[in-house]
Amino acid sequence: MEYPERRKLEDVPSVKSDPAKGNFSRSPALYKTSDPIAEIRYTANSSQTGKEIPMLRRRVGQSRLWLLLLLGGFLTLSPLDLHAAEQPNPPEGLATPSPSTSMPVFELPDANGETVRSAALQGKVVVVRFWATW
Amino acid sequence: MPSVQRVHETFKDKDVVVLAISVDGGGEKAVKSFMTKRGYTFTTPVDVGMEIARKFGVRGVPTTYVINRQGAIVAHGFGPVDFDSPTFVQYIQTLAAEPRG
Repeated sequence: MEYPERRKLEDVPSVKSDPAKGNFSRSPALYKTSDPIAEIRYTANSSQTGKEIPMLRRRVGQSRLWLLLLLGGFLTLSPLDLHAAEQPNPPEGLATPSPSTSMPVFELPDANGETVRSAALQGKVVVVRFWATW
Repeated sequence: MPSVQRVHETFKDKDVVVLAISVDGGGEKAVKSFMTKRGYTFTTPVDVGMEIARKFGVRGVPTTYVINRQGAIVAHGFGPVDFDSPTFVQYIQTLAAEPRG
């Protein structure tokens, strides 16, 4: 970004800072700083570059607008995202039953003679495959 | 069934239970010898009378059901389903990541 005043001041190192007269000039060394915040702060305070202030205000206004747009975007999208998180799409070969149903209550012996109860599966993800050895 | 064994091993410590409910007429004995022969370790409840299969709405085998932490059937399907596919594994991971209901 170019600051015409900056170059001008750099060429005139003899300009002295006098806050009483509204002159907030700094030594030319400050203009060369790589810190953009310091530069912006300077431009905003400087009586010589007073023209820069409206530009700074415009920037703040723009960022507020972006914030609003972002916020709006989140508000519109969040219900969809939540819904997607609640119900991920089943993989190939599977479909979500409609209307939704709960797992039936059951109690079955397993091949090792132990009893498998649906009640013991509460709060867990269960993958059930009905099959036969034939 | 090898993919059932693998999904069982992948998720056994993650609140994911794999149940291979057999509707074999041969009952526990037939299932046990099948499992031993192949070295499978997943749980195999035996539903000889197909009573539970009917409760689920099974019309043939193989049929797969996936139940989420809230106890709702969130996916079902008749026919072979590749439990090894990245999409299936990802699906189970997503369900397991949900808070307990």
